[in-house]
Amino acid sequence: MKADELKKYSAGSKESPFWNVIAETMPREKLNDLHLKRLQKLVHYVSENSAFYRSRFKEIGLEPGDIKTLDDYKKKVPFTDKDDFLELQSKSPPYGPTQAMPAEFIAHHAETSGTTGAPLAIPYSLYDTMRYGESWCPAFWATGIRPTDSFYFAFGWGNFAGFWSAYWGVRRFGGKVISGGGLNTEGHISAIQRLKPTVIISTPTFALRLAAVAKEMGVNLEDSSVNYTMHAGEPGPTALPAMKKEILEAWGAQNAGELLGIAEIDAFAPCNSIGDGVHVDEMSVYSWVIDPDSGKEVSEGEIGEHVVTSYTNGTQPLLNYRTHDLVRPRYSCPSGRTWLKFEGSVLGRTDFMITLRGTNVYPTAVENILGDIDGVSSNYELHMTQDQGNDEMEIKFEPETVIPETKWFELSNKVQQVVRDNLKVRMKVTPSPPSSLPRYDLKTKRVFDHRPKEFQRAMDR
Amino acid sequence: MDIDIATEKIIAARSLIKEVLIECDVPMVEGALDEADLNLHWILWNLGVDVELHPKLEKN
Repeated sequence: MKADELKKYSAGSKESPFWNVIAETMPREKLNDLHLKRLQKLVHYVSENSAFYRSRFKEIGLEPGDIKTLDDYKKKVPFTDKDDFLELQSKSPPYGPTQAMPAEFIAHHAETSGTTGAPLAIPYSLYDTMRYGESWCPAFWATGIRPTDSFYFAFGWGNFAGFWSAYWGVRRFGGKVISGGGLNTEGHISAIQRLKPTVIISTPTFALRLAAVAKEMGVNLEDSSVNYTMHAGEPGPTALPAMKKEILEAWGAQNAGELLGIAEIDAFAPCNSIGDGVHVDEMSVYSWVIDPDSGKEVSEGEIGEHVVTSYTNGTQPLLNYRTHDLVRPRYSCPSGRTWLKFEGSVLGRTDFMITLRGTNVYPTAVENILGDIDGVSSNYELHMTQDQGNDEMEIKFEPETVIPETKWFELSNKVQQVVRDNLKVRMKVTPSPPSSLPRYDLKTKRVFDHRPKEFQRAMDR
Repeated sequence: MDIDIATEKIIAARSLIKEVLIECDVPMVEGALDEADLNLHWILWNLGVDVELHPKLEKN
């Protein structure tokens, strides 16, 4: 057969509405049945192989055989938190007693971004990396991306797990990898013009930063080869519809997808084809949602904290891991996926919520409002302070460059009014000159907590 | 694709791989077959088959 007669994938696969129709549309009853069997195996596995879990289970008298139902799992297996793992690793680096496989099986070392402190070390076996990569594929497919596409990685290649998982994902998917490692922003834009990728993978804010710098360089990305953008690492096109519109316009792209991941867990929640949320990949993780104060499970549609267990990280297992992400769970979706959906992706963080004069405010809600106001650019910061025991939030934003300085005061008043109308609270609003707020290539720091230390929590996964 | 038939054939393929692995003393072949088995295990996992968490944990 001649090479030009080769087909990347079959006609049948090409027509498939899902990357894996069997798993993505599995009936709830079968999913729950599988979860129970897999969780029982996982509890046995960590009891035998992880000094950390063995000790935890011994403290509370939990035997692996005690898990007979999903409810048992939720109620009997103790919660874990990033701080537990950070503390153990700091005492015995790199992985301490959290490691559950012999060192010879560790095939890759990665870390969390560490933007707010010591990074969490994450060991992966070869199998972990394959499975982690697979989690990107349903998001690619649902966004319209196909294995015939070429992917430009607009980031450097440090130890950050998120970037490596994207690479594993594209390898798994069968697409073409184009690394932008080592280039600065202008270099990325030149490389995109020269290498003509059809997909850009980056944090959503960096996609906008690339578009802004391209404009300064006289490059119109609307006419570029890029048809799709895919994002992770921060609230993106699913959580922030105004941001999606901005990205699509800036890149002239057909669609912008998003994936919710947690470095130490998995790239576990791909966007769906209708763009209204992300779905938990129930082949890779088991998720449920709790009231962050009581620890009890919330009902469908109620906002609560996501608690996750990973099947795919056998080297450093995470069971009933508190993510601090606030989500709204749904168990049905017009997209046809049966996997648990988080409507609107992550709505906020338990540690970010502040109470302003009796009203709970999440930064994501403020971000969504800012994105809808004409004249407000995508560069802004939210500053949390405390005055006589009361939380306060200040919005600093850059007006778009077309807005003359004489109109900034008027625009600030409009922002204040729109926020007040929508959230029923008054916030201080301050304009900053264009290009005055810092830009980031990795995760953009939007929220600054200046409250007394005892009121602060870790601001990053 | 008939899932039951596909599952049956993948399980059979894994058995064949294991047969070769038992006798294997060529690192290249062993490494490639190990990786092939990971992929087949992963397919079964994603088809909803009740398999072990990791192929290495399976009792032969």
